Amino acid sequence: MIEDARRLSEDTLIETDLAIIGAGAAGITIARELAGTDMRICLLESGGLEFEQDTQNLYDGENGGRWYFPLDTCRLRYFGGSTNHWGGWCRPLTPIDFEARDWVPYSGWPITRADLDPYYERAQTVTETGPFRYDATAFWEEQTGAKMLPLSLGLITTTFFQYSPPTRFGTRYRKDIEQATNVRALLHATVTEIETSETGAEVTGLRVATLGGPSFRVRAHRYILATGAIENPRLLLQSNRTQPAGVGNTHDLVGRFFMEHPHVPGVAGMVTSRPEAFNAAYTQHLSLADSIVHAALIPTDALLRRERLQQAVFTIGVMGVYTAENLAGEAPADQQRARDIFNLQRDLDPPRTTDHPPAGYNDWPPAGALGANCTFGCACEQAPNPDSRVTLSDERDALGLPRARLDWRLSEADKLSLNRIVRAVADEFGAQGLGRVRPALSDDGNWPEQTIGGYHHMGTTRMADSPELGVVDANCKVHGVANLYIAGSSVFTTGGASNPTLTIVALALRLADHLRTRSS
Amino acid sequence: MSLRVSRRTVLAGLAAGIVGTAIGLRLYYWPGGDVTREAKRLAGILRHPDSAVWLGRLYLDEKPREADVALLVRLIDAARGPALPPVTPAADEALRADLNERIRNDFIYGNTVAVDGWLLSLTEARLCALVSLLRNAEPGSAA
Repeated sequence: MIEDARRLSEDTLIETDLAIIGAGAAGITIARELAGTDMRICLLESGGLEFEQDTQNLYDGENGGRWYFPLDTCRLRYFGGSTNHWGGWCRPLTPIDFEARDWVPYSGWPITRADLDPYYERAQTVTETGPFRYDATAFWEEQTGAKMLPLSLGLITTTFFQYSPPTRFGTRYRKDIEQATNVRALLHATVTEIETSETGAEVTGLRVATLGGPSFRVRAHRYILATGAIENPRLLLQSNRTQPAGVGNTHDLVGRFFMEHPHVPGVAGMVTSRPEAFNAAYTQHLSLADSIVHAALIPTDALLRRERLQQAVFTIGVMGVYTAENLAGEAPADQQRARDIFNLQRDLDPPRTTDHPPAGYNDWPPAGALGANCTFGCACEQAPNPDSRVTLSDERDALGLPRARLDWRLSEADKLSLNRIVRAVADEFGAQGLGRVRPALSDDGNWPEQTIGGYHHMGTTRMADSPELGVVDANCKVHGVANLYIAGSSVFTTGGASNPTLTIVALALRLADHLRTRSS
Repeated sequence: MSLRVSRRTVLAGLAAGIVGTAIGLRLYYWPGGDVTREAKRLAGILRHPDSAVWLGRLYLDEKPREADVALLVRLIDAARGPALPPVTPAADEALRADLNERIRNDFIYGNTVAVDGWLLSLTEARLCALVSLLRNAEPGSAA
């Protein structure tokens, strides 16, 4: 059932078994999983079913660190949350991403990739993607009928993204929520405070407000905070009536370790005289019978371990192709050097192989293409950094609540790691005669100004076995608070280089299973 | 005042001169023929000389000490073993395959250089430099 909280009477008290704060990918997934059980669930969403500017304005906040997107535009505050503008990129974190790596400070999840695998499989269905086969090159070669790049130096390897349609959780799963007799979803219901016992060891209720309407309370046996990695710490920090530092913040960890996936547009250029080697899976979304895939490049685990590097992923974008016709004319001045490199490569590199699909396979390479001028896109891992954080601003929103202040920080080590991996791509491509690479990054630890995030907010209520290292435990329960759980990417211990939504859904499914087990 | 030179100094000077001359001869007189012919043969692998000239100039701007045909030939051929076979089309293919292997190894072992930001194998960058120097040496060249 879905209701508008603005129609409730002032000071209504809603009693339920489980209160879920936030109806995004995590909140809706948990509510759906527990639909049909004997658990009474109250799903609280700050927005309505559609975008509304006054609600969205509650997301406005301050940026105090390196440049970041305005906080009211990098997420969405209505039913379905940020899946309403999600791009649909899916890929699980890799096994090494979960490991404690002595060269990555604060790394090491208390769970492994194997622990999450069954939930990743189920998350494929939730996100409407294909088989749970991401690093299985032979499988995708069979599916696509195309050979992947011959990469044999052990520096980089091919991986695959899958694409969700993308699933807009609010639209796609609205009916499930409406029809669930044990789920009561309240729209326009903004939680303003998590109330706790005097010791902070138990949540006793939620104070909820509506814009221009009634205020009310929700009392539950258990609570799940699922509002994203900026709002989750914001709500915990501002809930300071009995705990001055905020709920679950005994060790001053709430809001710290904010992570993104630094993206450097055009991190490197690449010219190839073997466009046929880059089959269509590398250059575009490839639609197959039951999935949409895109091949990408990642460093091998061996390289990461040997050179103590952090994770990264690269995609290839085609800027233009070389044909006999356009090579006959003069190159534009800014492209002359790339053409010189192309000429050098076709003079020197081994002749084309014939084990690739003929020209025209899924329109790639185009007929007559002798080569291509490409660019790499990249997303990379940012090491957890306690100084990269979300705090409360002095400014207040329309409900009188402190706004969030984000101080996003990247380190020199993050950048130097990316530099090295770009060089590894260049070495592998050069050695295989696949192309020549022009890194666009300086050799030092300074991040270029154009570095941006990927709208991937992570880490601000991180998962760790020890309450001195993390806000939640391996079951996503807040350390020291008996009945409060957190869902979403704020629990990520490290971020790898994979887009977070698939992992958010997998963790939500796992949390739902945990709650169901405890309930029974 | 007379200048006294010790016997040891004279001997050391003679030894240095002999070694220097030997290195010079080794560079100038290529074992398989004259160095210019060898240089032209290597440069002939590149069928787009205008592109190679540009890249070669950029490389030599960074490595001016290598602006010497004999030295470049020697550096390119250093790891390629004995003198090249006679010039035939088949031999040119053998040379290309041999250079491919050199280039591959350069990338594997980190023997790379940035030319205008592009990461090239040292071998291919030196080939370009060779083409550039030979172009400069042509009659009527402006360089």
